[in-house]
Amino acid sequence: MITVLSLFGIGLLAGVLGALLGLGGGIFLVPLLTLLFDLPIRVAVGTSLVGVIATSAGVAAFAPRGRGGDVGLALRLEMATTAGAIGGSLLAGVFNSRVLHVLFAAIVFTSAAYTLYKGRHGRDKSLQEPLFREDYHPQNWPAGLSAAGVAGMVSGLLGVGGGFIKVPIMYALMNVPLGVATATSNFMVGITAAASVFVYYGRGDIYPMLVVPTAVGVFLGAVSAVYAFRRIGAVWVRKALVGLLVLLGVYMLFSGLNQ
Amino acid sequence: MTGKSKQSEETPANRLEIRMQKVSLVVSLASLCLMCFGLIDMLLYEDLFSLPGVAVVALQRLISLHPEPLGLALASAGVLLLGLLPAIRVVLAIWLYVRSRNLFSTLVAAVVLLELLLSIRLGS
Repeated sequence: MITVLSLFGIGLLAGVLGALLGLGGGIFLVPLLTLLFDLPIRVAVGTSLVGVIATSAGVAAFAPRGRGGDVGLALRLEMATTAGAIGGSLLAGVFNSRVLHVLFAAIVFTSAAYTLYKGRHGRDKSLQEPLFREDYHPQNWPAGLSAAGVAGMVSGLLGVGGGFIKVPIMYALMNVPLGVATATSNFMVGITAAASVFVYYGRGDIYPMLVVPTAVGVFLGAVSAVYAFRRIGAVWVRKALVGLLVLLGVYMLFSGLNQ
Repeated sequence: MTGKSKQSEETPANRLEIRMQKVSLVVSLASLCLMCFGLIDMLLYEDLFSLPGVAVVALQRLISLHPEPLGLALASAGVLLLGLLPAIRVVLAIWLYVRSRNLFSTLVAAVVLLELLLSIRLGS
């Protein structure tokens, strides 16, 4: 019973962070499941994929009206992301693990730096930056689609949801408000995870004893994050995103250099 | 003011958001209920607790109603239902785009659905 509760707790934490930052939560679930329960990486990834879909579902089901993400934007970007993910998963066997880790770290650091720069450069001193607004027009489509394709490629290569790349792309590169970018990313990571979850299901890498408590925790965490989002300002979400990106980048860089 | 807000609620984007919210709520709650009932049954009656435990029931066996432990079958069905939710949302988007005669968005959503099906096919 303690194990079931621990899995639920891990899922809850991943759901809150994943939904709040638009990451899906897989980036937290995989390391936690492998470290704490000594599970094979494939089993952890299979569990995590179901968790990512649960995050996406929780946000979609409970997001306040007008805060459910931009479906049109998500689908346009997802064309490139899904294509990139298919290409990336096919190429995954070509590159060695060290190159992939260093590439991952470089992309994460670039995203963090650009998000930080954009937040400071573009902020109006007299007004607090709103998380959600309707009068935005996504810009830089060629660059955004290319970056989304690269994000998908990285997702396919490294087995992550890719929300930590998608949010900065939309926010910093395409001028989408951070709240909309986060909600849209939550929608997108569900689609990306769904493409992989059936492969894991068919291979028998999904275990109900692990998946059920984790997915329930993730779902409830994501729903809590939807309500917490109303009370949190853009500055804090951006700081959390940058901090997380730097941590992930350092972790991936050291992992790559130590291989 | 009321008329304006009512008008803004009737845009295709808002209709899509409302429908997606309802579908997401119903499907995710149904799948989580199936998973929870399955887990409880596994813990109480089937003595299947271990980590990582028993893998999900294969899709063909589930569809053909092959005799399986009830809890495992329910949990597997719940996982499958949750996995189908993103695809259902894309199908819903296509349906609403077709109804609003938004050709470009219909094509975009159809491409995503095809890519999703392709990736599932490649994976299997």
